[in-house]
Amino acid sequence: MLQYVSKRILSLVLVLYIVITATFLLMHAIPGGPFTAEKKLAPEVLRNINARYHLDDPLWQQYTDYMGNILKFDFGPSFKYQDRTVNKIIADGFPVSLQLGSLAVLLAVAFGIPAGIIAALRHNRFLDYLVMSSSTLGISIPSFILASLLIYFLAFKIKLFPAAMWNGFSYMILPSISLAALPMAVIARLMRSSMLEVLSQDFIRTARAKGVGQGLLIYRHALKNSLIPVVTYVGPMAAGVLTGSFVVESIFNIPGLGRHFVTSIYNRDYTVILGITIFYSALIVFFNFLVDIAYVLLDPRISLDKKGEN
Amino acid sequence: MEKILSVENLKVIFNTYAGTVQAVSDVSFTLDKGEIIGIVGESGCGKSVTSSAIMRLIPSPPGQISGGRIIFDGKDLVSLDEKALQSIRGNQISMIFQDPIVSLNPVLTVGLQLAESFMLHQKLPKKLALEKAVELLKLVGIPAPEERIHQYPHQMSGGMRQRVMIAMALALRPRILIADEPTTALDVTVQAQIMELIKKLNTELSTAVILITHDLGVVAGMCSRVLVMYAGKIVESAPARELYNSPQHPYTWGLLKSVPRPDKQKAALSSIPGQPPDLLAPPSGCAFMPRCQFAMEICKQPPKETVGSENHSCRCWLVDPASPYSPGTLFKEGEA
Repeated sequence: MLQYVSKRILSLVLVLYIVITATFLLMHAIPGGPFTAEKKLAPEVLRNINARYHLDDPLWQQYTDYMGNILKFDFGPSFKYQDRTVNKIIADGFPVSLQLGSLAVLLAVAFGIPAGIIAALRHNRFLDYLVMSSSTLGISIPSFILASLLIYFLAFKIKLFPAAMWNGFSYMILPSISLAALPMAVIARLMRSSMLEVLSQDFIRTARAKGVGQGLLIYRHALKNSLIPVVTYVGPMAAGVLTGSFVVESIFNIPGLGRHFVTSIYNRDYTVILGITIFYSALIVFFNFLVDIAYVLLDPRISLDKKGEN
Repeated sequence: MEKILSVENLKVIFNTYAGTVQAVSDVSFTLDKGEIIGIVGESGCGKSVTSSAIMRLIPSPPGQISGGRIIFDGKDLVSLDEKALQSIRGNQISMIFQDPIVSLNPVLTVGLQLAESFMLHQKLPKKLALEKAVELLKLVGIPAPEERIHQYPHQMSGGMRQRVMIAMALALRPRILIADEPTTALDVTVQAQIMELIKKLNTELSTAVILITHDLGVVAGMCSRVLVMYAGKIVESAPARELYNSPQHPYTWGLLKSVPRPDKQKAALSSIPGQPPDLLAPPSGCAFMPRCQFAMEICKQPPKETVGSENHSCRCWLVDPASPYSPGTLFKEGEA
C-alpha cells in the first residue's frame, strides 16, 4: 500500500509538470496578453506594467521563475484583479463551488444508484422505461436550459426557492439540481446495466438457492459487484463538479471557481489560468486515486501493489 | 421407503423470440428418503431445467413451469409463494451447481457465504454462524478451516471451491441435495474425491440426492435408480443395476457405449450420431427416432411408457408387447 501511494504521488508530480508546461506554452501561444485592451495604453505605461509583472523577461525565465514559485505553493498575483493573488481567488471561490458541487454529487449518487437498481429489477417493465427515458432527458438537456426551466417554475411561478445569489442553503438547491442532472442520469444508466449483468451471474443463482431474499440479494450479493463501473465514472465526474461550472455559476450568479475557468482565458490572466488548471488537475489525480482505493474495497481480487497477486 | 419428493407430469417452457421451447415435458419421478437417484442425458436434454424447477429457480421470464406438480412435504412447490420458497431453499432442499469457479460470489469471503445460511434460516448471529462455517469446512475436508473462512473464492483451487459449494449446500442438513454436474469442471482425481464426499454425506446425514450428470459411469457406483432423459422427457428409468444389466432404450445403449472402458481395447470411443431435436418444434413421434438405428415406421407416433419388471420403465416402441424384437438381444448385437 505504502509503495503504491508513493508511486501515485510521484506520478502526480509528473502529471502536474506536464500539465503546467503544456498550459504555459499554449497560453503564451495565444495572441494578445493580459494588458492588451481596445483602448491603447501609452507605451511607457505598458512597459512599466510589463516590467512590474516580469512579462518583459524572456519566456524561459518566466517559466523557471513560475516553477520556482510553485514549489513554494505561490501561484502569483492575478493580472486582472489587482491586489488579489491566485491563491486568494482559489481560496475564495473553491469553498463555494465545493459546497454546491458536494450537494450535486450527493444528489447524483443518492438518486442515480437507486434509480439504476430499480430499473434493473424491473427490467423491460414500466419503471425501467420510466427511469431510462428520464435519464435520456437528463443526458440530453443542457444544464443552462434545465437551470432556466428550474428558475422559471420553482423560483418565479411557485416561489419555492430563490432564483439566484448565494446566501445559504436554500440558494444551493436549484443550482445543484442543474449540476446533478447529467451525472445522475449517467449513474442510473451505468448502475442499471451493470446490475443487470451481475444479476445474470451464476453466484446470484447460488445465493437464491440458499434462500436469500430479494433485498439481501441486491444489497449483499449484487451491489458491491455492480458498483465498479459507477465508481469509475463518479471519481473524475466529482472532480469536475466540485470545481464548479461556468454555466451554472453564471446563471445563478454564484461566486464560485467555475467562472474563472472561462474568464481567465478571455482576460489572458496567465497566473489564474495556470493556477486553476493545476488545481483542477491535482483534484482529478486525487479523485482517480480515491477510485483505485474504492476498487480494492469493492473487489478483493483487485490489488494495488502487484498484478496477479492475492 | 418413505417418499420425500414426487414430481408429477412436470412441464417447463421457455418463451423466446423464436417461439416456445418445450424444455421439459411430462417428467415424473419420485425420490425416497436417503436415496440417491441419477438423471443422465446429453446437454440440453432438460436435466438441469428439471432440477432448477424443483428449486423454483427457473429464470422467469422467459422460463415458466407450465404444468405438473412438485410435491415436497405435502406441499406443491409449483404453487408456493416466494416467501415460502425462501424458507425451503437452502434449508430443506439445496443445490450444488456445475461450475464452482463462477458459482461463488467473488467479493464475499467464503466464511460469510457459508455462514449466511445459518444467519438466514436459524437466525444465528454472525459470530456463531462463522463458527458453524468452520465446522462445515472440516466436514468437507478442507485443511485449516479457521483461516480459510477469511479467504475469498479466488484464493482457493477449483476442487476446494467445489467443496465449499458442497459445504454450503449441506449447511443445514437439507433433506434433499440436488447436485447438478458437480464434477464437470474438475479434474479426474478431484472428481472422485467429490463423489466420495457426496456419498459419505448421504450415508452420514441421510440426505436424499438427485445427481445430475451426462456420465453414466459416474452414476454407476452411486445411485440406486437412474433416469435417462432425452429431449425433455424421461425415456428410461430403472434401478441402477437393472439399467446396466438390461438397458432397453436405444438411447441408453448409445450412452452406455460411449462410456470409456479402459479394460476393453477399442479403436475409438463410440458416439451417438446426429443432434438432439430442436425443442422449438419437437417431433410428433419419438424424439430419438432420427438418430436411432432401430427406427421403425411406428416410431413416427409417440411411444407409450411401458413398465416392466423391477419398476423398469421405458418409452420405446421396441419394448411394446407387439414389437417383433427383443431389446436385450438388439443391444448385445450392437455391442459385437
